[in-house]
Amino acid sequence: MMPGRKPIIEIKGLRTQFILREGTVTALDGIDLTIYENESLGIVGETGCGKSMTAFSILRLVPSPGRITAGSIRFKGVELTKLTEDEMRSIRGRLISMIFQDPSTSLDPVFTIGSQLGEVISLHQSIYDEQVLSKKILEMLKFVKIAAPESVVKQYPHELSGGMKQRVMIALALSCNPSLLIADEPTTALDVTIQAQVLRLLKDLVKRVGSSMMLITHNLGIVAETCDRVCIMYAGRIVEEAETFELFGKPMHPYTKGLLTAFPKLGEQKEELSVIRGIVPNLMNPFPGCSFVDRCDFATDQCRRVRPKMAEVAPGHLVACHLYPSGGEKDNA
Amino acid sequence: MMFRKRLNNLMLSWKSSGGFKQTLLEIVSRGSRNPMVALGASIIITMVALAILAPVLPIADPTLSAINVEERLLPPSGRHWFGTDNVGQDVFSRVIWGTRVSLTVASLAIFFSLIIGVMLGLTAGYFGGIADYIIAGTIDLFWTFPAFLLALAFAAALGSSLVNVILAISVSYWAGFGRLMRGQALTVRERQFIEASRALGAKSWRIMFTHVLPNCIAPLTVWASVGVADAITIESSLSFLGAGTPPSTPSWGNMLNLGMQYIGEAWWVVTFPGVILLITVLGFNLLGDGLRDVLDPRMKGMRR
Repeated sequence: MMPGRKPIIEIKGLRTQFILREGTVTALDGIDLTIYENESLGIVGETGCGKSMTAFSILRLVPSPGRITAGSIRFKGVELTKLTEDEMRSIRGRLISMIFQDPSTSLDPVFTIGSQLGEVISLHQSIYDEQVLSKKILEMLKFVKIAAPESVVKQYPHELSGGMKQRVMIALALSCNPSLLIADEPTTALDVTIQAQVLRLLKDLVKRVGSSMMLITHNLGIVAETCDRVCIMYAGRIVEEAETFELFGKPMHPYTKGLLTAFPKLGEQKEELSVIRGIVPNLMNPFPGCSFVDRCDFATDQCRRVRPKMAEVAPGHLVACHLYPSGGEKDNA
Repeated sequence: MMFRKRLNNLMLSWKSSGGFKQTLLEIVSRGSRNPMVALGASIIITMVALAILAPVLPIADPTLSAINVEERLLPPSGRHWFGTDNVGQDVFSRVIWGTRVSLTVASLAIFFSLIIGVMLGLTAGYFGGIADYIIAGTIDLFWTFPAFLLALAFAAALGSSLVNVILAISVSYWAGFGRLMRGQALTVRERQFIEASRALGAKSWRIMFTHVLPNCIAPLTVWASVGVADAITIESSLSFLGAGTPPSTPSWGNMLNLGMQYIGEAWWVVTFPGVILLITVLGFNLLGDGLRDVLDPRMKGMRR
């Protein structure tokens, strides 16, 4: 698809299911996803569509009773689904790192910032000398542009603001120069001015470290500003994938179009924002057709019966919808 | 070798950036500003000092001093501060020496209960599943008996000796720590920083001991402090009922048992050990209550 770029992670046909007594919930239903070197990929979708589950599946931290039941995740050519728990653990935090949504609960409240950073650095880089370690800790705090790092080292999480805590989380996640950083709604819990700062910092640092980023969000504005490429997820499937510019300019899938029109634009006079009617389908009941069918204005009989496959409609632009069988020709059969 | 490296690593993560020493100093300074902790701690320090220093102080060892029938049941005076008992022994020296017995028994019993309870509770709460099922079931089984009755049954079955009393109290008391630890581990396990440290590559043992356990230190300390008070009471009650330390040992329970028979003619024989017992138990309870506030890192810097 994009010649000359090396893929960092390749996901093929990933299926993650929760096997419950009442039935099986298919949280991820055949995800195909590739992230290339030095690229930031945005994953957009509403709550419960499987964005976070994709991240947890990559790290193999799907909470019980969930399990990866099918598919492959290749990270730099290594099949992650077949690694032992020990091997997987040495990848987490060192090669693949993750930042969580709420920085106020992501740090251990009873330890100082310094000792928490120290733990991760000494764990993954086997640095046991205290002086070397404290120098590394200070370096990391300066790296994420924290003011007065010398005093922050000795402070507890509750003494820092939300933005500072998220910077510390970024420092934790980037401390071992990971190849892939997964950021799960990193700015949702922050207020808007801090959001912009943290995003800019994240984008900047990821570039400097030379890693790729997978940014999970439900905010299209953040994607537009930060990501090179976007995947739109709906009900456990990817429905559209394109370069950011292309996607915002030429959205194809009815769901993507809905999302974009539901988003207010600057300078536009509108009494009411449009909404996508209906709710997300229950993932417990398997359904042969397109999962968006009940909410789609263009739904046909075929949509109910046959699940649409991802098809390339323009270079690098893939969409899973019967409206675009292939090549971008509209077919209202 | 592997273990040493791990231990080193663990200590390092506790100590790095000087946080550990600083935290300890801070707790002491915050504690001294809390009146409950200050009072409780001074009582305990006095009692512990008396217990340790008893052989050095000019107080006769009651186990060695001869029975002196002529001096029996003398009221408090300059020579016998707390009076004398039915065989003419000085009540004051028996109370002081009794401190040794009571504090040793109580603190050892709580120490063992704490170790057993924390290990089992942490395993059950953190791992869940079948381990939790078995351990929680066992805890509940022990929990259904009142701690005192269980200790009484054990002490009576094992016979009266110092070691048996410690054993009896530990057996009946560990379930409380186990239950507390399991509950704490269950809630801490679900918090996001645990998930975050898993996502950053931490092992189960590391998460258990460097994140779950430290987050439970505050309630455990409080419970242990109150537990020592409880254990002192249980030990005295056992001795009072004749199932505790052997009657020749100068423990508070034994003295209460003895003094009760003479309460009409010589009030001092039963009153003084009772009062000292009360003050000691109060001291541990005050400390426990106060520590709950002091140990919370969010209270740092707050003036009370």
